[in-house]
Formats: sequence, C-alpha cells, structure tokens
Amino acid sequence: MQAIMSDLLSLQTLLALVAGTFGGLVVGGLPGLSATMGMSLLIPITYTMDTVPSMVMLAAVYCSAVYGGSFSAILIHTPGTPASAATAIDGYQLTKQGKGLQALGVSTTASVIGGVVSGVALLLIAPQLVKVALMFSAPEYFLIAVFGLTIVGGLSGNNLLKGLVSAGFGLIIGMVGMNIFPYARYSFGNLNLQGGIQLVPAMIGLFSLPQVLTLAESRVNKKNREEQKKIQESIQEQIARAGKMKGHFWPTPAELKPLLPTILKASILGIGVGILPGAGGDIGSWVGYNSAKNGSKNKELFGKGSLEGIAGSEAGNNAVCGGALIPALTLGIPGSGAAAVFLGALTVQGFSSGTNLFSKYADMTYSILVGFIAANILMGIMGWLLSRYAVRFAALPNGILIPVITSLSVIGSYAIRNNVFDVYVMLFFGVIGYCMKKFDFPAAPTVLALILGPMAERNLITSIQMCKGSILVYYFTRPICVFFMILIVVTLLAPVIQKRRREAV
Amino acid sequence: MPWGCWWEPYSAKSGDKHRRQRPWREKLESPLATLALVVVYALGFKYIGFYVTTFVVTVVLMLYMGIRSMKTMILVVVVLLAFLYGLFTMQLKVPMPQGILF
Amino acid sequence: MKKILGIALGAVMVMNLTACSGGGAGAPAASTAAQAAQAQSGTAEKDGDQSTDSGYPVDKVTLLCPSDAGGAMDQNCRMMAPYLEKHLGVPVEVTNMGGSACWIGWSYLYNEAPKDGSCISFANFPNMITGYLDTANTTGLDNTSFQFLEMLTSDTNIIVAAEGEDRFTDLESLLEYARDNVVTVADAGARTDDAVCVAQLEKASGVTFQHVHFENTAGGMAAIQGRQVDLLVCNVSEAVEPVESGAITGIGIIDRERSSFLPELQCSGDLGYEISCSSSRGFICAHGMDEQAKALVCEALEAAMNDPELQSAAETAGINLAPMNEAEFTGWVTAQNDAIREIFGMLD
Repeated sequence: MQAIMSDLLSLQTLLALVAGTFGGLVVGGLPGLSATMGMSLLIPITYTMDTVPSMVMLAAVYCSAVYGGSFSAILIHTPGTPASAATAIDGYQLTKQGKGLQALGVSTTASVIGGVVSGVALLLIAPQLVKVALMFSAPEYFLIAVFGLTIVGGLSGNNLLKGLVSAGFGLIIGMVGMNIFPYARYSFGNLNLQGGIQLVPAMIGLFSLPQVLTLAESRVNKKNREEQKKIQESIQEQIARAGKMKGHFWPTPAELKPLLPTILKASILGIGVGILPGAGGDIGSWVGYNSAKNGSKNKELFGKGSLEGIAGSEAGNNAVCGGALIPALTLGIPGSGAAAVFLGALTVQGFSSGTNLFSKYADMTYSILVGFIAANILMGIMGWLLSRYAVRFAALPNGILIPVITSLSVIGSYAIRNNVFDVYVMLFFGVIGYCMKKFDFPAAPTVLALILGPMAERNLITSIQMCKGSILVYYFTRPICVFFMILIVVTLLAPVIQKRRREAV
Repeated sequence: MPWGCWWEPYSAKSGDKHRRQRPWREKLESPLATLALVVVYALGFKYIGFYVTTFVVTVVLMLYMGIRSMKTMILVVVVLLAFLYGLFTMQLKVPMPQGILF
Repeated sequence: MKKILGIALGAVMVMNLTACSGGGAGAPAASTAAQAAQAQSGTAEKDGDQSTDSGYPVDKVTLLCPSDAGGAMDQNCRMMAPYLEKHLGVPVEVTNMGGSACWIGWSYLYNEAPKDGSCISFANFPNMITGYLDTANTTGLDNTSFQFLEMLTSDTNIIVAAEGEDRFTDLESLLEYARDNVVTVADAGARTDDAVCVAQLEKASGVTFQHVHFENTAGGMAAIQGRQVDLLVCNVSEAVEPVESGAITGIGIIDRERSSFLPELQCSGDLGYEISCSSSRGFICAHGMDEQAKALVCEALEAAMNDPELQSAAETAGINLAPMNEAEFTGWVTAQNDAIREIFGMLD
C-alpha cells in the first residue's frame, strides 16, 4: 500500500496526472481530435519518463478526452469525439433551452461516476471479467451489432420511416471501401475511397456543418439603417450577456437521485462494452443512451433535451475506458483503439501484459490503476472549473460562432490523418446533413449505422469462416448468441404485442 | 420497450407538412451563401494556405453575419488564429498542405 | 454586398504582401529561392547552396509513417527518428499519413513528395507486396517504384493453439491432424503476413486449413484464448509472453531455423520445408530520389542500427532488430515478391 501511494504521490506522477487530464479535455473538446490521437502523440514523451507517471498520463488523457467530447457536443452540437455523438442529440437541445450549464453538470457527474466505477472494476474484478469477455467472438459481435441497429427505432423520434432511411444511408456509406477482400466497393478507383469513409470526418460533417448553416439562417437582411442599428445593439447585448451565464452546474441531490440508477446501469453496460475487443467508446455511448431511454419514465423527452439521456451516454462512454483496459492489462488484448495505444506505450516501457503485471509488478500496476481513478475525479473538477467559460462560449453571437466552428471542423477533419480528402468527406456529409435536417431526417441513425454496419458485416463473414459446417447450427449452439437472438426478437416484437394488447382492451 | 410502432410507416405528424408552408427562397439565402463560403474554404485552403484562407473566410463570415465592431473582429481573428496555430502547428506538428501563401 | 467584397479583396491583398516578406512556411522557400537564384545551379529550390554542415542536400527530413499515430509502425518510426537525426545531422520529423493499408502514404511518397532527399518512408512486408499484387490496387506502383534502404525489424511467424490443446502438440502432429480434419486458423487479415504464412505452409505441405480473418491480431488472440478457433498465426514477439505464461500453447515457428526466443518449438525447417515467413519492416524511399542524399541516408541508417542506445531501447520495447543494408534488403524484397506471387491466389 505504501509503495503504491509513494509512487502515485511523486511530483512527476502528479504533474503527469494534471497535464494529462487537462490535455485530454482540450483534445476531446475539439472536434476532430480524439483520445487515440492525443495519446499516440504523447508516446514519444513517455520514452523519457518513468513508467508510472507516463502510464498515468496516458490513462488521464484517455478518460478526460472521452469526457471532454461532451463539452462541444452539448454546447455547439458537434461531438468532440465519436463517443459523444449520443450526447450531442439531447445536450444541444438543453443548451438551446438555456440549460447548458446544467447539462454539462449532469454530463460531468455521469462521466466521473462511470469512470470511477470502471476503474474500481478494473482494480478488483479484472480477471473474472476477462473470462466472460473471451466467450464473445465474431458471432456474438454480429448479433450485438444487429441489436444495436434496432436502437435506430428509438432514435427516430416521431417519424420512424425517416429514421430507417437515415440508417439505410449510413449502412450504404459503411459499405464503401475494402471491408471484404479483395473487393473495393464503391471506390470508383479512388485510393482514398478504397480505405473507406472515415467515421470522424463524416460525423463532424453530419453534426457541425448543418449546425453552422442553421445558425446562418438567423441572419437578418438589413433593409434600412434603423434595422441595422437594432441588430448591432442586439449583438452587443448578446456579447455582454454571454459573460453572465446563469444556472447551476452540479446537479442538486433532488436532481441526482432519479439519475443515479440510469448512470449505474449505463456504467455497467459500458464496462461490458469496453471489455469486448473491438467495441469502444462510440458504441458504449449508444448502449448507455439506449439503456437510459429504456428505463426512463419520460421517454418523450429523449431527443428534445433529456438529462437522463446525457447521463446514460456519458456514463456509458467513460465506463468503456476502464473496461477497455481490463483485457488489455490482463491478456494483452486491447478493448478499444485507445487501449491499444496504452498497451503499446506499456510495451515501450519494457512491460508486457499478463499475469506478471498483477503479481511481480503489482505495485506499479495498482499505482497506475489508482491514478486512473484519480484522473476521473480530477477531470470532473477541471470540467467544473472550465464549464463557466465554456458555456459563455456557446452564448456568443452567431457571427463569431460560425467562423470558429467552421475552421475547427475543417482543420479537425484534416488533422486526423493529414489527408485533405477527409475535409472533402466532411463537406459532403455537411451538405447532406443540412438537407437531412431541412427535411426532418434524423442524423443520429446515420452515425449509428456507420459504426455498426461494417461491424456487423465483418463479423458475419468471420463467423461464417469460423463455423465448421452449417452456420445456423453454429449460431444456435452458442448460448450467448441464442440470448441475443431472443433479445432482438423481443425488442422488435414488443411494441407490436403491446399495441395489440391495448387495442384488444 | 416501445420503439414506436415500426410496422406502421406513416406517423401522425406527416399531416403537418401541409401546414408548414415556408417562404423557401428567403430562408435559404443565408445558409446557401454561408455554404458557398465554406466550400470555398474547404476546397481552397489546400492551394492558398490554411491560415490565410482561415483569416479571409473568418472576416467575411463575421461581416456577413452582421458584426461591425472592429474590436470584436480583430479580437476573434487574433485569438482564433493564434489558438489554431499554437495547437495544430506548434504543439501537434500537423503538416499543413503547402499552399501559395502561409 | 459590394462593401463586403471590397473589404475581403483588400484583406487578401494585404495578406499577399505580408506573405511575401515573411511568416512561417513562406520564409524558407523565399530565402532559399533567393540563394539558389544567386547560385549557378538553377535546379530545385532547396538544392545548391543550401547544404548543411553534414553535407546533406536539404535541411530537414520528413519520415513519413504510412499508418496512423499510435500503431506499431508509428512507434518504430518514432523510436528510430532521434537516432537517424543523430547520425544524419539534420532534423528528422515523423509525419503520419495513414489509410488504405499504407498506400495513401506510399502513393504520396512516390507521386507528390519531393525527391530531393527530404522525404523517406517506412514500409511493412509482406503487406506492401500483397498490396500491389492485389488487382483492386489502382495506384500503379510496385516494388520497382521504391528503393529499399534499410530493414529495421523482422518478426517471425508462429502458430499457436489454445491452452491445453491435446489434438496436436507440434507442427508435425498438426499437419498430420489437419490432413483428415477441418482446422480453423485465425489471422489478422487476408492480406497480412499471417495469411501469407498460412498460404506458404499450405503450399509446402499440401495440407489445407480453413482461414478465419479477424481485423487484427487482438481479435485473433481473443479468439484463440477463448477457444473459438483451433489455431492462431501471429508473430513471435506477440506470442512469447502468453506462451511462457501458459495462456496459449506454442505449436511451431515458420522459419528455416528455430527461434531464439522459444527454442523448444519445432520449426518448419525441421520438417524439411524451405519457407521463411515473417512480418518485416524497413525504411524506403521513392525511386529516383537524389543519389547523394540516398547514400547518406543509407549510411546514417546503418550507423543508427549499430548504435548501442537504439539497440537497448529496442530491446526494452521488445523489438527484434534485424538489420539489412540496402543491397541485402533489395534482394530480400525481390525474393519475397517472387514467392508471394506464387501463392497469391491462395489468399482468400
């Protein structure tokens, strides 16, 4: 115990913790920069640092970047990372209603709780959870992806047909590229398309560009000097008002109590998603959002500004962080892309994952894990301190927001892979996203389908390769698969049965 | 788990469409103009240079949206460009495409 | 509207003036252009008088990593960069340009990057070879488009099975078993070194396996440890720790000689097969790069490979250094090219 605390409380570690948390918030808050990118850029710095500080710094960047994405998602309707896409839906609605600070507070609370719960799980029951994770393979992933796609119905608001069309569009986009060798589908001979449409530029395009254009709609055509003057005054007022954002940040106990079950449920699901290699924060947030909606008594609020929705998605995506580190540290199998970078940095330090980490190097490992939990708490505090300024940013006049969001979107899309093509992708999706918005097609199903469609296809093909004989027999002889199949059928049939029952009465 | 009645493709709200007659042309002018600027920005920064294009587009957009105060415009431009430069070029060392200008 | 255009035009003109005189990336180009104009050479901007103390023709080298930041290739590049800088005498900066299985980066290297010595890249094999042999590849590039400077690392392929596997214990018994039974083999993708290894083993032994393609080795590792597949093909560096801790069972190495990391495992050479499969990575440059620069880079790379600091950093990180100079590397690539051409049809 003493060794752990002394490792953790050394100056280098504390500095790394603070720097990592702050850096992660910035990286996560900017659209286009993700946790994985931030962590990998820090790896060269870790070459010269001791193991515990460098791993704590990387872990801090990971969890605070996932949390930081919620800032831009809530305030300017642009998810800072793919893991915050679900938060953007309800979060921005709340900002429009003037409750931006409150939304940030709930998001912070949920993220911190989700992260701490996953950190505790990592500390206490990692080996047991890993055994469960190994039972999941391609067939299960396929069914999880299909189940995830059934969430589309819930995201479509009132018009299910339009939601399905959006999701269908997302599925088609997901088919571009070389998912299945050796056919480069829909690539039209373009080398960039052969690699597929990248998720992050598409997401930035679908969320932030329509946002910019919607803000532009509010421009008033000046007809005479009188009107011009009025506009100038109102803009000055807006700027002045921006400095006086009202509202409270931390949720009051009365507000928090109904949210706690949602948060805990989403956290546990998030840990589950994190443990599965190949499912990361982006899927965790949708699973959390969906579980919040399922258990909610105010379902009609979802999509119009539901605090429960934000709580669910943020708890889910932060719980994935700890969850993803579980198989990474115990088996060397990263549970997400960022966890893979974490593992890589650990390898560079000279440590490989496995039982050694928890026996021979237990002190070091536990220091890192406690540091991870500390980072989750620290990011909540930093978020609270930064929230006042962040919220003022969202209240600025449109004339300032528009160029800022535009330039961040453009450079954010470019900086991911240093590829100008990604900016074109963003532009394309921006135009389509605006048209979708005008005609009331929801954008969330498209993002969901873009994530889950390729996952479903890849895993179906792999499961066909894995089965020795009949694919149907294979699926039906795997208990987890059967469970998911029943779940999917029940999910799809439940509303039918409910309606029939209501009509029969 | 009510997902809405998925087998009934038409929702109650579709009748609303006829009531929402918008003055289409007027409403679309500013977004389309903004879109044109954004397209110029996204296509042009590779050739002209990122920071110069950002500067020009930012100024034009602010003017277009009605901001006239010199102080505001200078502040926004300086803060934005400094932030982008400091983060992307200096800290992250992202190699910007080499355009004619900076 | 006119006012706005007027102001915008004015702003652009002002920017033009400031860009001409200085500012950021514009400056070096402007000053070297002036110097080159004074010199008699009249060739590319950064040539001629602008040579540094080390004699290298340009003042900065970009090491283009064709895969995204954080991956194994990126880590290799970033590990090597400071040592290359030390031995070359000019700053070396790593830039990532990932996508399309490294082809976006390699295509940029050949088509757009300057060939004056300011840009070199990193390549992984056999991914590059399976890439250009693929009919879906439209870049028009192949091994003749690049020059191979120095190999960095080579990681031999190994076949492993689940813990407590009792149907076969080594390569020989595996091949026996597989002749009569369907055996699933997991790999990291249909065009990776793992898949090539399986194909070569199939060709040499006449046994066929059922290929199961995962997205990466992590997926395959989870599958083998969860007993979802019979075998996993991966690399020695990835398998050493799990084999030693007992999480998986080592079956055999696909190489002419046994591995020094896991010497008790049979190798395909023991059974008389002349195949050698590995995942190898090395430094490349575009065909037609400035000869003087190329010679200096090769020299610096060789010196860096012998640098004891690099060697110890690589050992800590578990990277197996396998130096091969330009001539050896080029010969190796040609041999690999021929070998893989033969089995390419077997990769599905």
